[in-house]
Amino acid sequence: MSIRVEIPNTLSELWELLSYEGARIIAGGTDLMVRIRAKVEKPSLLVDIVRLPEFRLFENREDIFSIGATLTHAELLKKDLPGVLHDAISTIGSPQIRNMGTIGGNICNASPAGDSILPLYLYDANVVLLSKNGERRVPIGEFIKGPGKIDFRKGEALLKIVFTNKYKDYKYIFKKIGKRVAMTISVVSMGLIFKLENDIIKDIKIAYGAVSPTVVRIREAEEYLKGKPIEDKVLEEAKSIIQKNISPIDDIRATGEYRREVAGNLIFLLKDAYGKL
Amino acid sequence: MKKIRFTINGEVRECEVEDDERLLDLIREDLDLRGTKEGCGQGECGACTVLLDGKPVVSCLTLAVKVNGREVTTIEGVSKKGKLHPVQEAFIEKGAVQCGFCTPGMVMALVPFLSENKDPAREEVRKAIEGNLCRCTGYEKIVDAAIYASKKMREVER
Repeated sequence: MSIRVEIPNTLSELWELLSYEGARIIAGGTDLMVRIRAKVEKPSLLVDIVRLPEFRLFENREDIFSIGATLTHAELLKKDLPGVLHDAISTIGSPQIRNMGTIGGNICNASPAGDSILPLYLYDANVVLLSKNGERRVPIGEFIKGPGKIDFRKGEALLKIVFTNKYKDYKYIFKKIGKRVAMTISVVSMGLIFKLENDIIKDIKIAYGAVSPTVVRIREAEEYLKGKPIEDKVLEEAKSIIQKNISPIDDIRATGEYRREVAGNLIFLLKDAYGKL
Repeated sequence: MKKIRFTINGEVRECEVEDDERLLDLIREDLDLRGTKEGCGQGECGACTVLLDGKPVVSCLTLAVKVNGREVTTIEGVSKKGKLHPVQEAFIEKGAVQCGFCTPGMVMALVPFLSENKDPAREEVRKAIEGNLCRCTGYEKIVDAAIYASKKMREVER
């Protein structure tokens, strides 16, 4: 079963290794190693990209964020990230897993429950793919095509994630519902950023995880909530819009019915947050 | 096969490893350091926790070739000159060991945490060991031991 493993030190070594049939990129290995051992994935060549400095840059210049794909969750928690992204990353795995797993790995796994992915939908982030032919920039919602499915072309590697934080004065909520607090995969997750003016919702962006084939923005609920006060009857209507826009499934962690109910109820967290403003 | 050179418990070693060999197997089988345990083999239980460049990782999901040029510390490397680490002493004194299988992993998660967090709250200790399962469910005494160890470590520093 022996798999060849190479750790390139330069980009030219990387391009050559990625040209081989059956080559697969590995970073932290926290998901891929489990799948390889379970024989779900059988790559013939693993290319470990964590030593390439190009993939480890972090920049926040005038609120334009550029996050290197192989920065680990623990490394990112020490950076000045938007609160909703920081909180989402802090719910991932355990200290050990956060020291190993990378944000790029979380994105490329393309799990509907990927915790670091959800906030990136709120900021309409782009992923930047690098190949020997140059860079290709794709909106995250187009890069992730379904559970475990990404728009990856032969010879490409995920270089970085970029987004502009145009919403610095917004409040945020991130909530992950799991079977326990640590080392758990989201059963339902919700992230939102919003701005109030005179007790009225001026702007809001809402994303859900683990209730559809990919993380989803609920734009219909965003539009509905704009211009409205945070009141029970408004939130009841938002709940039913959210429930209409998701397609949760039954799996080992929860039933679809449970997910649908919880997903709808989570919007009421706006009321708790509002009470504290 | 790949040749790697790394530091383990302060000693530089050169080893030949299979490309897809796990760090856990390098430690237990090749180097015969049996303190590090294999529990779930999926990164969920923390029994195989070791330090890589001072940070806790699960050795069951780490490829051995990744440690080339880096520094690994196992449970065998935390005592100095035959004297147990204050975390180890605290585990014994506070009865934080039941079957003992999770203990090396717990200690390896706590040693770097307590060196950065001198006076942690119980809740912070719980968070630091959230990646370590104790199948005897002896968590309370483990948290007691961590708090007690932090006190010992503060006294040593003084």
